[in-house]
Amino acid sequence: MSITFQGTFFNAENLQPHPVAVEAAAGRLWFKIGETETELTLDDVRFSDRLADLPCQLYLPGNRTIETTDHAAIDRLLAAHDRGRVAAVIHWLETRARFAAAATLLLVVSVVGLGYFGLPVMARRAALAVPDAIDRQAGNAALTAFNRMLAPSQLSASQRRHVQDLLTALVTKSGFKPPLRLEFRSMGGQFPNAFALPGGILVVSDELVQLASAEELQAVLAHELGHIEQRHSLQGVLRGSAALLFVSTITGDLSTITTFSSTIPFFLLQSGFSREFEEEADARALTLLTAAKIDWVHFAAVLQKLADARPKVGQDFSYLSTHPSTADRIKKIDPNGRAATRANRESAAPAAAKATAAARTTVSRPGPSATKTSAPAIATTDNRKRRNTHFGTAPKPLRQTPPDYPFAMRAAGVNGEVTVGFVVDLNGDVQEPVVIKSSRPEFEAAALAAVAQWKFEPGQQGGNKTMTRLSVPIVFNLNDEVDANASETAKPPFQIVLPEENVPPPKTPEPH
Amino acid sequence: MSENSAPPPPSVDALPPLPETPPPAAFAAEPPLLNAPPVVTTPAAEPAAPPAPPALESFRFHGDEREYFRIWIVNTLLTLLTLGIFAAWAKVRKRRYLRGCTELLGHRFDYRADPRRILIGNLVVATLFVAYSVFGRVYPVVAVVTLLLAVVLLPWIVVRSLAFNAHNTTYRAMRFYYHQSLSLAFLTYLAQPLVFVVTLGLYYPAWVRNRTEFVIANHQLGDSFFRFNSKSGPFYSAYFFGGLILVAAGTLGGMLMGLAMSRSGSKVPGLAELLPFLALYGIGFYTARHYAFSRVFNQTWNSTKLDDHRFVASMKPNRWLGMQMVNLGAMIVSCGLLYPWAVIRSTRYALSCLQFQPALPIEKISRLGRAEGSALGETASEFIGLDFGL
Repeated sequence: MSITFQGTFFNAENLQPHPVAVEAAAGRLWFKIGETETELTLDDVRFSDRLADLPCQLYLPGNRTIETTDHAAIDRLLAAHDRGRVAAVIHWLETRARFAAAATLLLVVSVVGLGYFGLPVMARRAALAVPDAIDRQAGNAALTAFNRMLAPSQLSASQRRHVQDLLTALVTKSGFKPPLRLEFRSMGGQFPNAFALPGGILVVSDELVQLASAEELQAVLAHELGHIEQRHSLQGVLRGSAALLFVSTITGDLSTITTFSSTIPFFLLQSGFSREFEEEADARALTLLTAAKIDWVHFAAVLQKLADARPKVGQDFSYLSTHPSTADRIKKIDPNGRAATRANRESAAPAAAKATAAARTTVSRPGPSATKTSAPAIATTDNRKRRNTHFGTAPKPLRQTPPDYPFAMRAAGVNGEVTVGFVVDLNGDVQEPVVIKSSRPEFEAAALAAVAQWKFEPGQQGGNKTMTRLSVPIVFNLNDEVDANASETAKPPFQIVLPEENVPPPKTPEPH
Repeated sequence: MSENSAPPPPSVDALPPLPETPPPAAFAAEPPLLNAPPVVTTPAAEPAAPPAPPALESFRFHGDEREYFRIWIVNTLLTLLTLGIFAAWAKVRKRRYLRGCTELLGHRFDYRADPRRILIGNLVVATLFVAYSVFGRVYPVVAVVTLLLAVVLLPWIVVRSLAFNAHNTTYRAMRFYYHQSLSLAFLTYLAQPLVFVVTLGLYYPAWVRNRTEFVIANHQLGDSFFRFNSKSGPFYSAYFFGGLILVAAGTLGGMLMGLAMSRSGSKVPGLAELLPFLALYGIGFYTARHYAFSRVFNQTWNSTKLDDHRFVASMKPNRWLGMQMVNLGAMIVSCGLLYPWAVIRSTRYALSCLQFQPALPIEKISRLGRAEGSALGETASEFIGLDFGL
């Protein structure tokens, strides 16, 4: 069977076109220019991929070319020799309006999906896989850069030792593993702040040390430990690079336009990233504080202090800001506004505040234990009492079985956290446990299984037993795990977060 | 088949002369090649008395917005789904479409780059980029050295990329050729930018002119040379008026901001006060760029010859500006999805403003044996092409 078609032949020696009739049969191509006959095997011919209605080009040896618009003939020829399949499929896709519509949708979805889910996951894995030595080196480089911007610390040796002791206490009690290095820098009398650099380097500003109380300092340190544990700065770099690569790949042909337009998605991706990092570090800080038996209220209090100490900028930039707004963070940590209550009271009675400050060190029990009547927390108890009077009693945990550490995660040395929401029914049993949030899906099954076995003394309202909705962050920490197995009861109970409905109205008691 | 056009002139690789691209940068990255040089070699013909006035031949552009949109969206999606591997194929398809839709004297241009070579270039660049941005954090020395290296290598990259593009662009099966002159490239891309930094930018238009000459005058089609013959004056004029637009927009924006600030009594401009200024400044910049581009476009092509064949460009700055404003709006509204639409419109208009005036039948142009370019240079320059357009 032979296929014939008309075309134009160019000899690549000059620009003269030659009309030509081509005959193809038995894997060979035959044509005649003037008196010269040419015969080639098809294997020596490269066919241009089908693209819109552009003429098909047959690239012959020596740059000679035959151009033809007889697509039907070429398609038959290619099909007969099983060539150009992929290009044909792409061409087919490119010519369907419906597919273009679907592709547009799919493109938007994948860009958003990859940008917001794919990249972060890859960056996290990559960052955690970076060898420690490299991480430390990166930390040194970052610290060197920091030194150029910040002045040496003015703190006395005893002040530094104090902070170092606080950090040691926090780390020991919470079982935080990675090696740490504490550095102090002055920020010119303003900007109380702390930074987590790669390689476990914590930089604390003099101003922060002067501003915050002991527990507050520990709360801030716990937040930074969260950054360090997840290697957020490395993750940030990796994400940034990946995002830039990603954007340039997609917009590759935009050439100069990209200078402007590619920075926009890049900026959005970046700011989304750091917001997420902050939330992650906050969450981790809470679990560390719980483990170290430090009341979360200090965290909320110090966030407020930091926000107040920041220079005011008339305008609200929060929608552009990379950090979640302080108000949002505080609300998450301290939904009952206990920190604000306490601050009010302290400002009203500074002397009394001093006294409580001393007592507070011994208090520092995490929220859940405060539900137990035995809890001696000062600021905490009166709040809880009020709740009990007006809003009934929250369920009291009787048995909190710790989860089994998933084998694969243990083997990989991975820590994690799963927040489980559930209902405590009238018998004090757990109903409908669901995962609200989890750092890694691998932990979810174990967390759900454990929570399902818990037993409570049911909550009460108006003297009657009532169903109560609770949520509990369950921390999988390889260090904690040891004591968890040692004695179930001695283990710090899982933090129980009361839902909004059960919380007293925001009305804070007047401090008078 | 084939046309029977009378005097066939060689053409230019009229790659979409800068689709949506703003001006000058375009010349560096994606050369609408024009050019023409010195050439003592003009193998040209006998000094025969030229016949009547040579006719003007129009470039015809067959691109269609919808068709290109479908191509663009499908290829972009495939690029994404293959994690960027397909980008090389996508680039070749898109570029081949634009060139293949460009017709001169009855024949289309063609782009026949091998995507696998571009893929290699992509991979090398991506690896270097990641290594740089990550290792640069860990070992600052690496960052500094890499950056220095990149700056020094820039001229080489530009030259290789021009050569790769020229080599893979054909007209009537004849490849374009770019003569790689490294020393000139160093002068053009490293030494001269220093001059315009030192002169606080005053040298910029002259630099654009020199860069244009460097790009154009080193191109050939077969044995015909591109030549570029222009003074700096017209470039200064284009950028002077472009600069005026920018200054006017900036001043207006500054006044608005001052007004708003004095009303609110703040010392430091807040976002609300800054936004109008930034917006006006951005629009002014965009306007100035495209205004200058259209004038540079005309000046460039009108000063370009291919041996004795001439080019005639008559782009109307207002029309071009209006079109780019619409493009900008469309792209913002569509989050960039209308980019292919903008490319086709811009290319169609730009090509409709360009004509070719053959002095002799172009069929006479014949082959000159040459070596090939590499994909690494071409991709690398697209990658960092972003920041050296200035």
